[in-house]
Amino acid sequence: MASLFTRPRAAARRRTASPLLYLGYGMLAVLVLTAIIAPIFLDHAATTLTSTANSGPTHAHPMGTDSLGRDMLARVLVATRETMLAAVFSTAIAAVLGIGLGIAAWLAARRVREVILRLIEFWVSYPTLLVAIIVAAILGRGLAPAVFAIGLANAGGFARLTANLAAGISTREFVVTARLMGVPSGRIATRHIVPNMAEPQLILIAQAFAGALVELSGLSFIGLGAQSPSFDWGALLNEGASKIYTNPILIVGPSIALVFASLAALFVGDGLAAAANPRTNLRRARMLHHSGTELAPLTPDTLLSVDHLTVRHDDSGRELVSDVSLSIRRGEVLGIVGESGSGKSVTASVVSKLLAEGLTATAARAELSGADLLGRVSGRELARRVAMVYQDPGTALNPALTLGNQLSDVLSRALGSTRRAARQNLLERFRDVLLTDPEGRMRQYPHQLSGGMKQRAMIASAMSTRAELLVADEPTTALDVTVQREVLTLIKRMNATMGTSVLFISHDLGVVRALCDRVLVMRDGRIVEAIDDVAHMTPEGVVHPYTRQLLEATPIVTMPGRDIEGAAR
Amino acid sequence: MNTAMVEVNSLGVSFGSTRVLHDVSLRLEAGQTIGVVGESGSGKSTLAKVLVGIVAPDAGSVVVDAFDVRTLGHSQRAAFRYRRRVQMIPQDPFSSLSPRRTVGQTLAEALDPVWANVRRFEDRIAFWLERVGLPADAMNRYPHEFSGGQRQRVAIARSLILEPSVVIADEITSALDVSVQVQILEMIAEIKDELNVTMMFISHNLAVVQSVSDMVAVMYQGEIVEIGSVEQIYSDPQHWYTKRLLDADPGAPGFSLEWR
Amino acid sequence: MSHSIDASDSLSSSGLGIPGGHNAPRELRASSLAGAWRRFIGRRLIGLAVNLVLLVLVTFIIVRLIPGDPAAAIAGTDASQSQVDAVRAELGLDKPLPVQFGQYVLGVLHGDFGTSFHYQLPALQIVLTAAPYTIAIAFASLIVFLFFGLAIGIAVGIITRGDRHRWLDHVFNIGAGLIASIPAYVQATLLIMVFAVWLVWLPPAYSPSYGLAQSAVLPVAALSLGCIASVARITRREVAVVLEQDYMRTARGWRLPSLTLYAKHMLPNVVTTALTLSGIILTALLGSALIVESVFAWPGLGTVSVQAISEFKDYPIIRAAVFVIGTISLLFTFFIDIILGILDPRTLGDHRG
Repeated sequence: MASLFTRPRAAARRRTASPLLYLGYGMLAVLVLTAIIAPIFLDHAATTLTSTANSGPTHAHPMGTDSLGRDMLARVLVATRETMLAAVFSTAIAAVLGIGLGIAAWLAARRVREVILRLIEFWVSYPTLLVAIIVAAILGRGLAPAVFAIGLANAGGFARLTANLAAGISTREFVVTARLMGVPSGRIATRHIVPNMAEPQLILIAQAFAGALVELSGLSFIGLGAQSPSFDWGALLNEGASKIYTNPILIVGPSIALVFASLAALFVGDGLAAAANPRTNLRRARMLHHSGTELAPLTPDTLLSVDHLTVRHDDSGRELVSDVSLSIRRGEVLGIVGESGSGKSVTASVVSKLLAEGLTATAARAELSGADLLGRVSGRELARRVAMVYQDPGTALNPALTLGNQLSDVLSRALGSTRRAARQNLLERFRDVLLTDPEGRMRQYPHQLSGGMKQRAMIASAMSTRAELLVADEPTTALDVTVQREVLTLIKRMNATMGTSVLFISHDLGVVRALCDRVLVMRDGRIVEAIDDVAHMTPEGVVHPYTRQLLEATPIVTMPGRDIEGAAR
Repeated sequence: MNTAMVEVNSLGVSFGSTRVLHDVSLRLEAGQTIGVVGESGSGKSTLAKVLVGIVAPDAGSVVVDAFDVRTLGHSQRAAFRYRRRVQMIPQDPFSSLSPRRTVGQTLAEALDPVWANVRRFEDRIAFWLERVGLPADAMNRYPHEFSGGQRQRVAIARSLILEPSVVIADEITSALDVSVQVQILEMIAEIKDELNVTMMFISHNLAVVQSVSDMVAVMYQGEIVEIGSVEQIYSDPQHWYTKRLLDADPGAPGFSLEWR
Repeated sequence: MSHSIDASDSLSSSGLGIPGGHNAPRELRASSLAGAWRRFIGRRLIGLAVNLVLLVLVTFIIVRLIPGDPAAAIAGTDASQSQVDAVRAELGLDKPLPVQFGQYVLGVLHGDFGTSFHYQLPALQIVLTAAPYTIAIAFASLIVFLFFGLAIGIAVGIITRGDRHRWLDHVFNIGAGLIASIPAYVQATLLIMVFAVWLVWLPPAYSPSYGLAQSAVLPVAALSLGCIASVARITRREVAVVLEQDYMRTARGWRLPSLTLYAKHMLPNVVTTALTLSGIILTALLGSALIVESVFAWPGLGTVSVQAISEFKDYPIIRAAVFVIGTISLLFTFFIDIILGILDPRTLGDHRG
């Protein structure tokens, strides 16, 4: 549910209607036209009794005739109107009732809302057809009761969707703000709630229409819906099915019609859903060599060397990273600083060989400790050499597995450890990163830990494989400052005691200054400045105006009187 | 004249059995800006919600602009007036503007919650959009056509257009890049001096708070552990938690990553 | 039927990470699993009881809501006054409303829904004789559609990840879409056409002489084919969503072998969502079963209740059937939730039902 209506990112606004959506619209148009035209021209053929009863497929009657000699093709086409109208009415009943009730529940006082929501749950927990049978039992057989019954039954689904959507939307800040501004509840509903649920409602309407069509015909099929002499596709299918041994052609027409109509609604529903929630299928990431550049040989203490790296977005051809070169020595901490869209994270994903799909990276060289990152590197080797810590500790760990379970996987992969050895190793690393109750943590699920603890666990995991390079992509952005300092301290310590090199990505110059030996400043995919003396960088000392701008924009606390004290330490 | 614009005395708030705010007291004079710092779970956002009237206090008194928030429930009209005098600028520029309404409609709704007629307020909306550094024709556009920083400007315009007496800014720059953040902060500083508005600026970032505030309150586990002028707090912090916070700021002199 | 299921696409839950990070409480205490189960079972039992009470209410109202004089409507236009009075007496319509309701509830508590007009036997007995037939094909279909739907959806999802094998994606989308949009009763008719009329492999309708299992093959096929397609479509999409989650990137960053990656890290997250949606599908399936039974003259609840409405106006049977069908669908949902709880203890906290 979330993906549909959490924040509307720019991407979600770019509508890319699929061809299937247009196909669905086309098929619906055919149905509507048939519903309008067929009864005008074919009513006579569909209802006049002739002597050619029970005919098979012939030139005059391609779909045969029924027991009273009426042309089946004409009957199927004419029945389009009745079938479609019934489905439209019943969908309208469902949508109006359901959306109304859902909104009413949202507007109502808390107690009343609870009761309505309970009733909606009761309503949707039974099969549609059971409700239809109940209504048929009350009102008798016939198309009108069936339309009402299916509408009533499907209203539950609309009510639930509306209530859920309203609950979600009403916690969004623009609704809270509007409420604070004093906008009356009714206006909030019409102005903010309803317009923002249009997309999912449209999708449900398409699906409910298909459902209603199929269910109504189903009721007619078992004799509870359309009654002779009126007929819809279900009633025609029923006639055909009763003669399935003698004249099987009769079931073909109504079957095709039913499948055609529900397929049309399916395409429209799917197409709308796809347009509302675009999932572009992306080509797998590629990492390629480009030749022609003279490369200096690597010095022995170089752990990582990336030369002339360019990363392109396959579809748009846009360059996310342009001609970036960097190297990291063993035991060194290299920082990359930049704002959103600077290409710093993409660069890190090349180094860790986890380039996102839909991107192509080319470089003259990308070597990690002798292994060519642009070629094939075995998973085990990579797992042993590189470890990662990510930005959002809340989503980086698998919610369905305990910490011990998932973190020992990487150990058996990288080091071939046994389950027992992996556990022992992890327990020790958990102690190293000062996680309280290490044994207990092993058995816990990620949602039972705070963000800081999860990030410690990730660092513990990186330590456990004794990786040569730690790639940390904004690992403290989501954390409180005091927790941030603890996590940074752990990274620093890992670097100092285990000699792990670190590639540290951040937007915060203050953090980078404290942790890194050298810093690269990135902007719009390029390195604009490389700073070797990080500890003493000042707005006056840097070369590039952007670096200066960044340094000046970075808020720094000033503590008159504490400067001396700090320096004295 | 020393009239208190905001006066909070021994405020306490609990959600069920969890105590969110305890014995919080502060006093703000008209035109003053107080920075509230603290980490997640410190209760700083709850304090903001009490002031705008979303969360009712369980204990103590809160008087804003000579209005007691405990009486908010008594009269709808008074509550309506109060809520227009005290404005909150929300944190997330992406969820604070309705994606289906133009910027003009959003601002008009602030001016006239019932009818939200853009045409009637066109001049005022244009004036305020320009005031926050956006072109006047931005009123015809939808939020998705703007960057995060520009949206935050719209959100600021929406709260200032009512010319409120108190503005509460809850982490308004935490979703922005630093170079955008500095522009927003400069604009805020300029506007608040001009309008003489009383402001509560909530942030987890000590440096940001320092750049805009006259006073600072440090919150920890639902209590104000230290409150005072900016100079005093930053140069001579008394409480251990304030010191710890200050030392954890990467730009601070006391910051170090040494293993202890 | 099958379509309303796809509405649940938008319910895909794994897009939501577990809230954490910035606003996460410092430390969440692991509440004991046993306690969670107790609360879960307790809550569900209360829900079940409330639903049963509502069902009794609904079945009572069915007769009261018949427009005009219910007794006359039930007895039919050509019935004599004494016949109408007999119906009135049998349904207790001659007494004041509270008394009627009281008697009805008392009867239900004793398992007495009245005597069938048509069969002249206790209605509940007729319905309970039919119920196992419906439960059998519904349960068989559940197993079949869950197994094949999940297997196909996961396989296709993994094979087509990251736009690999685009042709399979197209074939799958169109094929599954087509099958999902053929109504179950049309499939039933077509299956009879092919396997009973042309190939003569299986009986076209329930006949004891063929044996229960053979007679059940076509009904189960008709019921589960569409559901397989729906579940496969949902699962395939869910696989794509899960594969894009941060934790899968983490697992890829650990360079785990494919089997571990998919079987251990992906599967649990896919199955939970797919099963949640299967609960909705199962409800829809029970509905189609009511119609499909009529096609195969399957002696289950569908056939009994449809006959009771359209041929006999047999209200005691209708009341008992609605009650029993409702109870069965409640129990099925309960059953799915238990499985979900075993697979993913986090769902125990959900306040559904």
